[in-house]
Amino acid sequence: MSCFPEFTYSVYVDDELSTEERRGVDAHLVGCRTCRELVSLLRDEAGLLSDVLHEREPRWQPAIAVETDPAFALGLPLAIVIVTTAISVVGYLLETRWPGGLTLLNPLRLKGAFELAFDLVFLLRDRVPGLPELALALGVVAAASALLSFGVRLLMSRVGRVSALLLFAAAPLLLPDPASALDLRLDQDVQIATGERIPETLAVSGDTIDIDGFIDGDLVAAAERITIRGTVDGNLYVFTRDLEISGEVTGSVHAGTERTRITGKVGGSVLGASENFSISADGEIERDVALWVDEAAFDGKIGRDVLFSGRWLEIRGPVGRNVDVRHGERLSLRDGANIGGDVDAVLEADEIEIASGATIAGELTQVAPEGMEGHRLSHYSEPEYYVFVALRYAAAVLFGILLYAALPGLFDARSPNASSLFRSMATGFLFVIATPLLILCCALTIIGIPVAVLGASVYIVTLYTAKIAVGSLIGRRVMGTEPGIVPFAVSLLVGLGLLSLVTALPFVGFAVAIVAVLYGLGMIYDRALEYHAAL
Amino acid sequence: MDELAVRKLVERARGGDADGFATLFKLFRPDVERLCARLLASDSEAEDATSEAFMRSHRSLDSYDSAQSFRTWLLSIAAHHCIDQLRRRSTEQRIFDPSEFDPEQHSTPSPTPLHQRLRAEVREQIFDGLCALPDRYRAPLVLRYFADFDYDEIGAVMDVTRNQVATLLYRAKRRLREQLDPAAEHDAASAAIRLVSRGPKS
Repeated sequence: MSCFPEFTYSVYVDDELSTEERRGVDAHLVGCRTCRELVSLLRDEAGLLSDVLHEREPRWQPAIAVETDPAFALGLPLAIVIVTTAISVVGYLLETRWPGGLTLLNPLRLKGAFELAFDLVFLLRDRVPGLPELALALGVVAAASALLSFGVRLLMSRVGRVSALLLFAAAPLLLPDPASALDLRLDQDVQIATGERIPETLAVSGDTIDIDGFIDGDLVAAAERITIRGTVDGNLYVFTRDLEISGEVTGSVHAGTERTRITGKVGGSVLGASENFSISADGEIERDVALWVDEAAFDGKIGRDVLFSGRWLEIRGPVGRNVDVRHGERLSLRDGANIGGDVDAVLEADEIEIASGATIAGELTQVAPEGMEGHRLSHYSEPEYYVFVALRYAAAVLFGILLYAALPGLFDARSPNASSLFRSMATGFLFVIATPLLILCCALTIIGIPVAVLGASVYIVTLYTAKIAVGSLIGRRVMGTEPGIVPFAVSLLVGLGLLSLVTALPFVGFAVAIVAVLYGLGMIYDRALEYHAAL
Repeated sequence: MDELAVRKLVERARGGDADGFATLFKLFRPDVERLCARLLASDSEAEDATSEAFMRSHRSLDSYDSAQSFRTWLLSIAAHHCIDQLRRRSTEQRIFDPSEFDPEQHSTPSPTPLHQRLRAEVREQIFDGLCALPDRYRAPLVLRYFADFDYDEIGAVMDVTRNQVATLLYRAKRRLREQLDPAAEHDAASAAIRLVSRGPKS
């Protein structure tokens, strides 16, 4: 009798042949060694498949069924304790024993920070030509493909395939026409000569930008140096190392710069972050000035209020209304300073200097800033603080629940062990540092600004989500993981509550928050990778 | 927990005892969830599917025939739901298209059967291979070798005949072998012998 096909043996091994068929196979096997070996291999194979399916946890297995890693029992708490203790002790010592020791890390200090950022970005652009364009292309492709694939999948699973495709086909019809009144220039040096007139909004990226002519619209620009000797009949949005306005801007100025000099006229307000900012005696700003600047000197005229946060402010000219110094080291009102309203300064008394020729029409209010330690602890006695914490907590829980409804998979993370904690934190740290640089590179190309804005929003939302993800992880460890949205909400309430309590503690809280956010970012990254792999 | 205790719990649950059902839920959730995760290849969907399966089982508890194993009954409810989900997925609209089951040369030589005594990383590979299989092949393998369903039970869940189940399983295994060892010898018997002699039998 000839051998049976492998198919028959496959069914035989599964014990699913009819009695008659089985007898035939049995009879054949007695006399055929080759088929006996094949059957034995098939049995092994079936056993192996069963073993593999039973024993191995799939990589998408939710946290509940994962056995606790033995390292978790000791390693993780130890790792958390070490990291938080180190950060807390160093922070405490620096703040109490070495006043000013942490100012290097204080984000409110701008000295050097802007220079560093500009140096880095412009150096990258000089030395690696095409980097901003590459970042932009990557950003566009990544953002578009992520949004599209996510959107298509979501729609297909929620509204069905045909309707989803119809919706996507209809989407382009719903989009507005691209803005037509936009002149886009990407060049090494861009110059709008005297007498030249741009009848629309101008968007420029280059090394140097000189505006001697007239722009009948806004100017959006990123460059190493921007000089405006002509007129911009609109608002100014600039990102540059050096900004000089000797001509006129009829609208407001929004600037992120290293140095800003205004010797001309600004019809609106000036909002900016800068290292060094000056308004010369000829300069004039018709409305408000709100600055986050290391050193500022106002010799010219300011029509309305001054809001200042930084280090050092010197005023020699007239200010129409109030001067409000929120943070700083020195306020000098020199001869010629003429303040139309009040002066409010959060400074030590000896940090305010008023020359005999300076006048203040309203009142001078000086409030001593609270010391670092006092500041850190005093808010615990204010009821507003607890209202704020409660509100923030409620918002986070709400956001977490919405997020769970949309992306339940995001919260299926495993409990970490010590090494995965550090690995996730390293991933999170990279994300925190690298993303803003990429966003900056995108923004530098001007056409990439929408991508940069999108990226920045994603960045902020992700940072926010990181803490919620960690809160849900803690909650699930405490409460267990029943499926469904209500048990999730309960565990999130508990987990985020615990996390909020710990992060509200003095000294330790800040360190815990850093660990939580970095770990949460790494966790989200891992989940995204797994999600991608599972597709 | 033995079958008898499970039966008692089912009786209690039928009588409207919420605790009885909760205990059943705790007892069988890991199995159900793992089955769903393996069938759907997605943890987020598996969680939803598990809830759905338990909800359905709770509703139809009266129709449970206590001659059958409760686990099998429960898993087949979950499997039904998951197969529905798979069908709904757009990528393979016609996952279980019966027209595929034309009579075929079953004796076509195929790569070797998988050998049991393989090292851990090879098992990982096999698992990854299972995950990468198309739904129509992964589903019967999971139902047969994880849920321990027989051909009739698989056929009922997947809405195909016994013979089609046999064919699907056979093809699924062959596909898995090809996937794991694309350069395999195309002579089952000789390759099988080679594998035995090479296998790190401990």
